[in-house]
Amino acid sequence: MASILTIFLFFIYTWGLGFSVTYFHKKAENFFERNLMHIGIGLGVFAILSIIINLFRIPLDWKLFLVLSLIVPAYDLYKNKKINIPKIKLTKYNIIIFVVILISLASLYMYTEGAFSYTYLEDEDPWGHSIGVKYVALEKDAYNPIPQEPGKDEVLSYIDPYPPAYDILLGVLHQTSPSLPWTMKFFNALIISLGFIFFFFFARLFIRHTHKALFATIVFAAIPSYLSHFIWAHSLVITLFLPAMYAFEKSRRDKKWMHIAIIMVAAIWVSQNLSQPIKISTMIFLYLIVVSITQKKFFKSGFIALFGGMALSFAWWGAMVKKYTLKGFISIWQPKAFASETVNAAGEQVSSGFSSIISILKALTSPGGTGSRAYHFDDFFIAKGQNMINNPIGVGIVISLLVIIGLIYTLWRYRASIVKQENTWLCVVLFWLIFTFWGVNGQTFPISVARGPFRVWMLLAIPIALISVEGLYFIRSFFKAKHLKTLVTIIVIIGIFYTSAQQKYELNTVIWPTSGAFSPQEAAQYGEWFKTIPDNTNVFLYSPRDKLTIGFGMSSCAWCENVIDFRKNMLYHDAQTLHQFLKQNDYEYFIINGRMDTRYFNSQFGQEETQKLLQSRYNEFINSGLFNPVFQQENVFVVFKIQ
Amino acid sequence: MKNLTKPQKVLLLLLYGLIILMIIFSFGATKNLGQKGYDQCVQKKCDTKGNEYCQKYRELNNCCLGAGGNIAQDAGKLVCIFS
Repeated sequence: MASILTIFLFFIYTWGLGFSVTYFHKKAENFFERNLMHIGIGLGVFAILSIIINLFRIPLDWKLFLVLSLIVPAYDLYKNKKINIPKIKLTKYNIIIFVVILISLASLYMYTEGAFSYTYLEDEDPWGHSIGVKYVALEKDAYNPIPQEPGKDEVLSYIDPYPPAYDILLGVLHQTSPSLPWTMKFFNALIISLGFIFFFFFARLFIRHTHKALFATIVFAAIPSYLSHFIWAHSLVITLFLPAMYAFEKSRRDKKWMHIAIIMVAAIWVSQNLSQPIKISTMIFLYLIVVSITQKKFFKSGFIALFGGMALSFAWWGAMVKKYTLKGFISIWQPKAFASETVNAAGEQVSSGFSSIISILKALTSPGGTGSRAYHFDDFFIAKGQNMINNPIGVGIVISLLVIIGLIYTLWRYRASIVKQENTWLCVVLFWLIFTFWGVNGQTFPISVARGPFRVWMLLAIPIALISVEGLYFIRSFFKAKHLKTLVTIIVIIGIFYTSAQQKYELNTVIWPTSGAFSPQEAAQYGEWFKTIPDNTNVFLYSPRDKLTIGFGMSSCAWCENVIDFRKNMLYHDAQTLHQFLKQNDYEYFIINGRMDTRYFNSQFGQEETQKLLQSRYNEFINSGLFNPVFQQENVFVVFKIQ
Repeated sequence: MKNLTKPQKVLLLLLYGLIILMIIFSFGATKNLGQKGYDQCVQKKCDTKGNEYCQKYRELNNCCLGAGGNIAQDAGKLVCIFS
């Protein structure tokens, strides 16, 4: 069920926090730019602020965020004694901003249409995030309650040591929005869609040309390889890069904005597990180097912002290193980092520092990953509606041509002057294009420069959108009459729609598959039944898959020590013991699923033991009178009401 | 070129150098296409991560798509078809 209140609160938190941290800064004069960027910056403030609040073990409660986001606006209101109602004029710039907002709304429509076309969560990651979101919502904490062996935590896999800002944001929103799947699906789509607005304002500052920035935003929104509605932390971390770049661009003109850039970099580093923050920081580093050289002036405030932001993110990473030790912490990420240990004369294990560093570097740029593969010309040139759901690939014919034309034209026209002050943005974009294109081709190029090539596609979309502008303006330069230039732009946009946007729409609105724990159709059948009971009802699955219950919007204390311990011997508990446990823990429903139970118990207890015990346990449940069957999906699952 | 500072010259050389390198690498990547590219990809996975891993559907499919083919079943075995 949709929560209008929570949508309202989301904008209050983000706008209020963005307003607060930029209160003493020179802001954009335009009313819409100023306030929309408050939201973008506020998103970053929320991320790092929640980590700092968590560090001090203050409960992550929505009321706290509401108060924190309203303190400065309330002070401002008190000081000025009035609300400044702006006079909105129908200027060219305002009209363009409305077009950008429309692009964002169209994207939101597309993403939500797809996300809500099925009742379950897609693939695997969103189910994992659902436990983290539920945990934050209920426990108001983002540290794992049970000390786990590093890398072995299968319950809260996206919290501790995984940086939890994404789960915290959704968890805090879930505190006021009863339906967890709605909260996750809607706000994930909203965050991605807002990104197009942030991109426009960044591009405008960067290119210093409003129309070019608008065209870049159209291309950016149309590229299939830029974020699908897949629910994962990448939606947040990549979106945060855009207001972060806005802050960096602002800090070129006003050093005070360095503080905002610090916050945004820190937010990036606490929103995803290292791989994207490293890539994004590399892109920011390239930007800083290029700006420093082309402007003939060391971009000190920019470097301070990058490294200061990384240092601030130690509010999370420092706590993790303290908790797991440095060695344990690195082992979580790269288990082989310390595999090269040798035994010294005294018989002690010693690791070679050099080989460990090499191993870590290899991990940072590993071209592996589940979806990574070699890509060829067609993969870039032709966008496909049938695509990977987590990170689609492909650019599309028209955009690809614009990029090729834009690239050749830029190099031909500017030649040596590409590194001059006036061409700074183009030079940065070329370096970004090289880095991300190289990253995507990690499996085919002799050296890989970024971890997980398929996850670089979303970053590649940024320089592609920016350089394609030059392609368009080169084509336009062949025409002298203004109306012909406009006509060319319209034809190109129509071409982009048919060769990129349509495929993106198709991919993002079809029904996506889900977790491998389900057989085909099963998830939809579960979803139908879960719709018949109130949100957040306590439901216990016999299989150790609490994340499925939670992902469907119900409750189960997957992270509770007693549940974890009880599950260790699940098959050995008779009906009475199980009933007593479920009653004590306020569970209302209990679900068995022959195929799923067999699969997970086989791996937990062995095939022989499972065969021996499982059927007799089922018989016990049915005959005990303690579990009342209330629903049966034939040959799939049976739901019992706990008596 | 004469008006450029030393760091700008270095940056320019680096930029053009990297672009040329990318073009060379991109042409080099065409050797991944076709049956030979598919076999090489699978072999590389088998060598680095073992037989069980490299025979997984997902890995074979990735190699096949990367070689420009489509995965299919032939006599119960997964094969890569090139049209």
